[in-house]
Amino acid sequence: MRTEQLTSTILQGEGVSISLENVTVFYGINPAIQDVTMEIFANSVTAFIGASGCGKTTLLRCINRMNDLITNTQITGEIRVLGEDVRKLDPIDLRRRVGMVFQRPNPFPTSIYENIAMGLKVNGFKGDIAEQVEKYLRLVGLYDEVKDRLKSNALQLSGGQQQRLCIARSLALEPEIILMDEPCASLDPISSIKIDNLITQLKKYFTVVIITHNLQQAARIADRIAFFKVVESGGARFGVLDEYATSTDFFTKPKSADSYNYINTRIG
Amino acid sequence: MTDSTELLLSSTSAPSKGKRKAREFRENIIQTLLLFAAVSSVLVTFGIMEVLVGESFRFFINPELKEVGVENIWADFFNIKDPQWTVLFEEKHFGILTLLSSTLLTSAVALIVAVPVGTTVAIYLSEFAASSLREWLKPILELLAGVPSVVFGYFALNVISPYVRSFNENIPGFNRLSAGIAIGIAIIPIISSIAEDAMRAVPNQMREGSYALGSTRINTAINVILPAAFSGIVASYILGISRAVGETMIVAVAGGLQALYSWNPLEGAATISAYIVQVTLGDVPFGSLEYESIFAAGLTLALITLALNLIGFFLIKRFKETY
Repeated sequence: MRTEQLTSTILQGEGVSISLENVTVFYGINPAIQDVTMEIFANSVTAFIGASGCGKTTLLRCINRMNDLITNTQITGEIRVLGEDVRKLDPIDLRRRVGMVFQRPNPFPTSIYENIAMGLKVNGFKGDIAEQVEKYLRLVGLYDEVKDRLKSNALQLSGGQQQRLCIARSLALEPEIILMDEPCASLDPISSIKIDNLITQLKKYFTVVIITHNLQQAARIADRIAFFKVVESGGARFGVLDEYATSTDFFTKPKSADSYNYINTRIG
Repeated sequence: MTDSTELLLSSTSAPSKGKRKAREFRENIIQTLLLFAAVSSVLVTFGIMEVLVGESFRFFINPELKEVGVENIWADFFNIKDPQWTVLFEEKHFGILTLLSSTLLTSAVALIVAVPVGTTVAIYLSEFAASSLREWLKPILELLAGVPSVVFGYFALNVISPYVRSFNENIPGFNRLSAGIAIGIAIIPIISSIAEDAMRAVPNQMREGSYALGSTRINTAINVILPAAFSGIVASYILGISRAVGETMIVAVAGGLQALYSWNPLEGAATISAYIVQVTLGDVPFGSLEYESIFAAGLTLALITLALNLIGFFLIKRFKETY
């Protein structure tokens, strides 16, 4: 109820891309995150922030049903992606439309070219694969760095290059939404800035949801911030959505005491 | 503070001169014993190689060779045009390719059976089976590796061979196809177990990366897991081949004992190991040419296995993934 109020105060975007309604996720009988209701807007960057263990990753992974791969996961409430209930969608189709970038770069142990081409092939891409590979390597600013060694193994790239390759790999499928789970956590500051700039460009074409522990990054790239906090109740620890606001509002006049403390412990 | 520490130190070290000597002596004995334990297996390996190489050497320089009509033993041994292995006959020839052809043929049949089946089983266990199913399926499969090979030999002779002959009665009861299939079944657990370990060692984030692109399980297994686990899978094949090449009881029981040079799997013929068994079972006098010939054959087998292990070692090094 509280979150509904919070949502209503948010500047409306061009359209709702993802809507969550009373979403609670359990691992076995333990809730990881409870009762989240929010709307994520199209063509914008929404950052999930909050202390570790507050269920941000869990929530993110429910959006493209990656949590199906973990046994014992139970989800109540409703998650809609572009108006459709994710439970009614084929997870394979859903994941093609909702791309994901992980915390640690995870290129496949194949060639740079094949890393992008593989996703296209398994999804029955009809166009020119080589052209698509080049287009997205250019978009992530990797093409000039690797154009002479497209056939060499992707594991030889640096961490930052690997992560950009992983981003290119999910963008090449031209999904509507990109979920990013701390994409810069294992990168040096320069690679990290490159990815930030990329994300800012991406929102023209995609809806981006990003988890980050870096508040400066969140302030720099996000249009809206969703702050999660851990609560303890009846011996269980789980996350709840505490505040959801535009980036400017969140950082200049946070409404909740917890988000104020979170921002200020980090800066101070 | 300092005083008390010194006091403490001196109180433990002062009366210990004799004790210390005794302790060091004890430590040295233990260390030496452990060293012997470590070295013993190396010594045994060297001992085996010494016997193999020594007896083979005696075979190749044996003056009796001239008497039995072999002018140039090297040319005869490595004859690949018309190899004959007629050691137990009056006119003797020692063309190793005769026996080697059988060894390679049965191993090839075994691999044709075991590589696809073993790899498929590994993919299933690693990527598809629920962990509860895997927990009891894998030990059962590994039990297959503990079945004595003589049992597989009679399985080949009494089950596989009659089945093969049901297609064509002219096929002899002892044939290398049946023996090869049985070897293949025997090495499936080696391949599937090691390949499955290699696949499961692939970090989960790599699977997730693939699923996040809309890949199905089978897409993920083929496009991501197989290349990622390549070195381990190759290692499983190499171990399987080594076992197939050295396999003795199955071929001795079901593969035939005549030393024939032939590449037809439907014929029976002795492999190197089957020949060694045959000679050892007969009344060949110790130190005779026939006796020494089994060492020359055995050395060939040992060298093949060594070469395979080296190839495997380099392949594993070459394709070792750092993820």
